[in-house]
Amino acid sequence: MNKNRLVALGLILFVLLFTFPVVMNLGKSVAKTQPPAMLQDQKAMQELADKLGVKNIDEFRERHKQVLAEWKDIVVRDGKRVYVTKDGREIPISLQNLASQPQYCNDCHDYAGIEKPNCWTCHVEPKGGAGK
Amino acid sequence: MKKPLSISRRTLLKATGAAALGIIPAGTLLVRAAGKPHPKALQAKNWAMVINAKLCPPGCRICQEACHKVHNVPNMPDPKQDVKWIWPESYNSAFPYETHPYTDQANEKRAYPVLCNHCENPSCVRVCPTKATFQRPDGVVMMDYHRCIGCRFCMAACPYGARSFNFKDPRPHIPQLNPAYPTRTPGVVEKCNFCDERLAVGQMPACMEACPAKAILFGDLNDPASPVRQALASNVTLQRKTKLGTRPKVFYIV
Repeated sequence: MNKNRLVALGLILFVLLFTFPVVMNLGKSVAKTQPPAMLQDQKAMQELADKLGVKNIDEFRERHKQVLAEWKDIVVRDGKRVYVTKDGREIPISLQNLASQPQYCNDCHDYAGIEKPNCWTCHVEPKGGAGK
Repeated sequence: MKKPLSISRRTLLKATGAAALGIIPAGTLLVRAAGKPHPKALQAKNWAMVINAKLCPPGCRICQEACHKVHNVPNMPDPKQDVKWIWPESYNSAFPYETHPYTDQANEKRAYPVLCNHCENPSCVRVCPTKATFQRPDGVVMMDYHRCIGCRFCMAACPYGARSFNFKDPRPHIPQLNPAYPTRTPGVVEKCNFCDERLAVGQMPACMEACPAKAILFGDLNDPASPVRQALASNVTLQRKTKLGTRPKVFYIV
């Protein structure tokens, strides 16, 4: 009989310990699962995609890091300042222009639970722009 | 009776060959995305500079001020952590192999603007383990700060001391931030870039534009009509430390 009690106690302790991280974060995680309002703004998102020279916001989400790396190579290695997209559009390469909307970079990175972009340790942040 | 293998040796080899060939188109994905030069971009086969030090007024630092302002070069308080792209140097330091005890006293007192020589045979490029420093087809020795790991091999290799290391965050020490050009981050090396970012949009180097005495000339070394070639053809010129074989592309009229 005594043994049964011990087992039950152990089980309760195990469940408590195991679910501890989930229980502790129950209230907090809710706020972050709300997508930032800007993601609902279709027009602004399309503008952002156009500035990077990708089709739409989905491609932006998937490829922006690669395109930014391509931009860096085109500017630094080839000394060119215009990005030619796959469908032949010509986009001026400018991080300042791309990140001109306030808080877009950080809000989205925050929502996705990834590090804030570290571009602004060197590149000068646009006024009222992406945020530290 | 046992059935023979359903795939013959010949078919297997064919399939393997086809699969191997498939790797080649996959490799073409590594080709860089297309870029286009800015419509006003200045282009040359081999950029070079001539500095007529005879025209340099004593104590003048206008070229340095202009360059450092445009490129967000910090004024570090500790001289050991100094960061500089172009700076004045005495004759004996600038041209140590062209001195003797009886050289012109006035000349020795003058200050010579020195900078990265954008050598044709750059030792910094040879030692860089990450190809962060590289030589462009137009002769500019460029740096890719994204790739620099701060090993400082290039600083050891450069015989002109043209490279500076960021020991600390330079941002607080930049008097006036120029938003059009990035700053650097602690742990990377930096140097003069022959105003690559200005050439790319059709402007001449900042030091040359700022010089009130028009002592700095800039142009294509491969073009006989360029101001650089004309100055070289009509003056006796010096390069710094030629015996080291780096073939500098900054020439001095002394």
